[in-house]
Amino acid sequence: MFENILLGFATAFTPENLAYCFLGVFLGTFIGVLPGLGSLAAISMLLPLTFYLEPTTALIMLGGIYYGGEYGGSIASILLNLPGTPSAAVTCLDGNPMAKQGRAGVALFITAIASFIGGSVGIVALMGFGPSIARLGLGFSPADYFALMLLGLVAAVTVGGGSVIKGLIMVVLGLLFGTIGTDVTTGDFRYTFDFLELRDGVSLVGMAMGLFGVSEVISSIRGSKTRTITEKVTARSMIPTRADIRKTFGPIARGSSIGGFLGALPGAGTVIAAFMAYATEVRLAKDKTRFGNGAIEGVAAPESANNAAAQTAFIPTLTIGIPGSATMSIMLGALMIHGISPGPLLISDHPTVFWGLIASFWIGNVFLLVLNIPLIGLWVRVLQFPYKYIYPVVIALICIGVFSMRTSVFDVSLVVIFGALGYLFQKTGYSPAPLILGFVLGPMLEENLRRAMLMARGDPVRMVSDPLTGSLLAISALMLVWAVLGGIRNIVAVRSKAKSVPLGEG
Amino acid sequence: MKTVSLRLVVAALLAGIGLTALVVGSTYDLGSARRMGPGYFPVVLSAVLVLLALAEGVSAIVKRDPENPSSKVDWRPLLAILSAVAGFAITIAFFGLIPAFFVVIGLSTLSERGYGWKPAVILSIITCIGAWLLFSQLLGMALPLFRLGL
Amino acid sequence: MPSFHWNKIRRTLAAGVIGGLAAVSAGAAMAEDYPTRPITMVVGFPPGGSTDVVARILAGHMATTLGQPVLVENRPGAGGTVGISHVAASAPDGYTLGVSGVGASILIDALGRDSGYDIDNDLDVIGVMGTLGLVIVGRNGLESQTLPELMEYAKANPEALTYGSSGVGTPGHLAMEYLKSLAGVDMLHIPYKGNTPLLNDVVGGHVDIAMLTTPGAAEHVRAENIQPFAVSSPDRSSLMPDVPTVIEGGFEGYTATLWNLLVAPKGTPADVQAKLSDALNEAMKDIRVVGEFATKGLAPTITSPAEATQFLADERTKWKSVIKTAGVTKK
Repeated sequence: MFENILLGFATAFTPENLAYCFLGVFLGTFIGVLPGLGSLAAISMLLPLTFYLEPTTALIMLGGIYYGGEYGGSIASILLNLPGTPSAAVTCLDGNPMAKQGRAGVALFITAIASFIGGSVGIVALMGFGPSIARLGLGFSPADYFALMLLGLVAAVTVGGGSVIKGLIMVVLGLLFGTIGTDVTTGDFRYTFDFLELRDGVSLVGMAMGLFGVSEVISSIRGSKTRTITEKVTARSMIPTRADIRKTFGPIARGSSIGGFLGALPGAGTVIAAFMAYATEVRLAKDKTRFGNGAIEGVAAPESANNAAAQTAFIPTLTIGIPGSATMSIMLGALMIHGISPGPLLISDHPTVFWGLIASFWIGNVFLLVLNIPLIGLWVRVLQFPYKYIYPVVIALICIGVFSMRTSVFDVSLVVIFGALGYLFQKTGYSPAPLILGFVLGPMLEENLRRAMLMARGDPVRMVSDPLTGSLLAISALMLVWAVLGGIRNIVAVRSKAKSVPLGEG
Repeated sequence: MKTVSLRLVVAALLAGIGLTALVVGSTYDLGSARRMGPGYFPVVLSAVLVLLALAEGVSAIVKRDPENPSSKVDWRPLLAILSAVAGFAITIAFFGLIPAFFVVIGLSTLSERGYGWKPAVILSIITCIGAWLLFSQLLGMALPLFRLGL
Repeated sequence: MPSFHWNKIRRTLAAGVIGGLAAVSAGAAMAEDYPTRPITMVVGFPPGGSTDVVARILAGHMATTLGQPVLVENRPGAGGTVGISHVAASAPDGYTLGVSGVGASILIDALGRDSGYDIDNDLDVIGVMGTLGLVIVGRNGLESQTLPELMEYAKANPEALTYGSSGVGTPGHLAMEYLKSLAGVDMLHIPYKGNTPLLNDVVGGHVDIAMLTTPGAAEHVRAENIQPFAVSSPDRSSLMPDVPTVIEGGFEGYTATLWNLLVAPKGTPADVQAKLSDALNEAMKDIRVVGEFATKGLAPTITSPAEATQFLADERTKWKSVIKTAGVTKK
């Protein structure tokens, strides 16, 4: 074990590998910052560059691109409310308010630290318990996955801070949007209205850019003349205060563990990790109203969870050869192009590849930290331009970003629809983050439910009687009841308050 | 009052989406609990959405929020930005990337009174050069800079 | 992604960068000079997938024969049909080619879904780009050890066994339905979205059997995560020579293979087609290509355009009858 780790570092620490790792992190961050382009886009764009490298070097570079892309996505989310992935949508919730309060530097700093710690925890889990965690993940049946995703969705209802009904509406609407396209189980088209483009479903990026980016721009324009961000770009202003650090310690620890565990489950894990971590912090917080208004815990927890999950997502990919996400499939494809058959025997057949990769994951995380902390000042300066000159460019970049994903004019027109919807939602207190999660999980949820019911031969009792499925479903039900009761209590409290002090809220 | 009515409008809109999905979805095969058809999940979801939207509508009437200036619709930026995005979509389909950038930025700047055409043109030029360098040169995506017709 | 290009523009751009003058005359150039500029090979699946890998191996070698780069361009979507309909709509000048698999060439159309093109009228078939066998695997702990035993068990216990596929109307699904009808058994079909979650559930023991591609299953068979029953190709697979074929298991005439066709827009000049066909066949004979094919479980094929067109017609007849027997069509 120990000599394996040494072998890994010996492999990764060649000047060539270090250089490609650095290049990967740099390019990944750069692409990730662009609206609509996340780590998946970064990896697929740059994959052909790695075809001519040594297999280990190629994977090291791809790993760097991956982290860079994830971090770059967080930068865009915090500064301009432009998330490209569901987990970045969670970062927006408190990260963007922080930026509006002139604390963008702190938010970015905490993001870098939380990502680093989360990533490191994930790497330790990957090194120490990879194969056993993978076995655990394999034991999850379709019914278990269904129950787990339901739990994630219930957690999402509480994310966003609005009322429970609004949270539920957003989740259900997201699930409904998720049914647009080709039905996996039968191959029928649903809600495609004869649009060829809708057969593969609504574009996630187009939807996220409309709901978050475009609606944010529209509502920021009015206030932009009065809004001046008086953030001093000194090293001091970027460093979190002692109080900030104390507040983030727990969230980072919890986020890393939650993310580390969920990431190892193929498919659903990496998507719900950030939501679960965020929901946990909201649950634990004494003052829940701070969330959504720039709570630093709301940035630290999802970011650490997201990065821990990003690492442990490699567990099924590398130890059993089953990729956990679209990004992981591309990484496996890269292995195949280099003549390495990814599979359960990868670790024993190609120890240099496996351990070199793990070592470089960690090196990549270090690079991310080293590269990005000095750059925070630069990113924050973006906000110092008058908003007047920023927003037209942001809108133009959103358009080109969405367009370039599938060279699709149709996707750009979706941005118009979702921009209008997002603006209305924002004005009336709906948070789009649960919608995004519902949208991403919806097809998986339905697929697994239908599969589970087929396997249980249509007997729901048989499905629920599995101990794991049953307990996950029970937890979801409890959480939902708890949230609804809380919501009712809230209404009662507000009404009685409203009676005594007219218009006393807010 | 304004707040309540906007909340109601959105609740009605959501109920409308749910109802449409319900009507369209009910034409799909429902299947059985064992072998759920493609219609099962959408129908259940849209029914739930309609119910939730109705509940939200009722709560918008019962539980009035205090009036809040930030919850008024700003029509000018809303229409300007949305038409900028739509304009981009149309222009890139027929004329290519560079004209599309001028259209999107030009229409965006209509969000504010008295933006002036000079900064808009300068911004467009900068964006075009930047995007060309970035997407076409660095990332190797050959985007259609200029084209005519489909 | 780097390859989402609009061809016309991309050609002008590429040409501009590579060598201005040559490009200007390219439009008017004679077919005997072909090719005078880079050729695009469109793949309807994302980079790194099995189709993409095949395309890249062959494109690399064809480029050396043709003396011009052959660039693989990924236009994924709708089971590969997005890429192929782009090829169908391109100019028939030999500079835009497509890689069309079983789904895009036959199944999507045979299942009654609109693909946006008609392969016979909109495309010319240049050649077959190798074939790939499937393998029937079972989860660990199944009592049956051989295909006949398995089928006997399934016959005695209708719907007791579950089988997974990577989706309705995919070759794996139809090939299993084909076997079911030959063996006269009933098993419960559980569809998945792609190979990955399917593999996960066979290895995890949640679904009993599945039909996987040989390279996708080989490593798991070697690690004894799953047990192989039979391969669907007419001959045993280079990746698992110990595994018998379905025919050896007593099901006469059973074959089901995956393949890709190299296609070009209809009306591509015959001499251009001949040049492309020669380059493809040249690649199939190359020792390095043969070696790479073997490690990926692919069987090389050497075909003339006419033979490839006949191959397509034969395959279509077979799959159409499978679809009819199995009763899988879009309602």
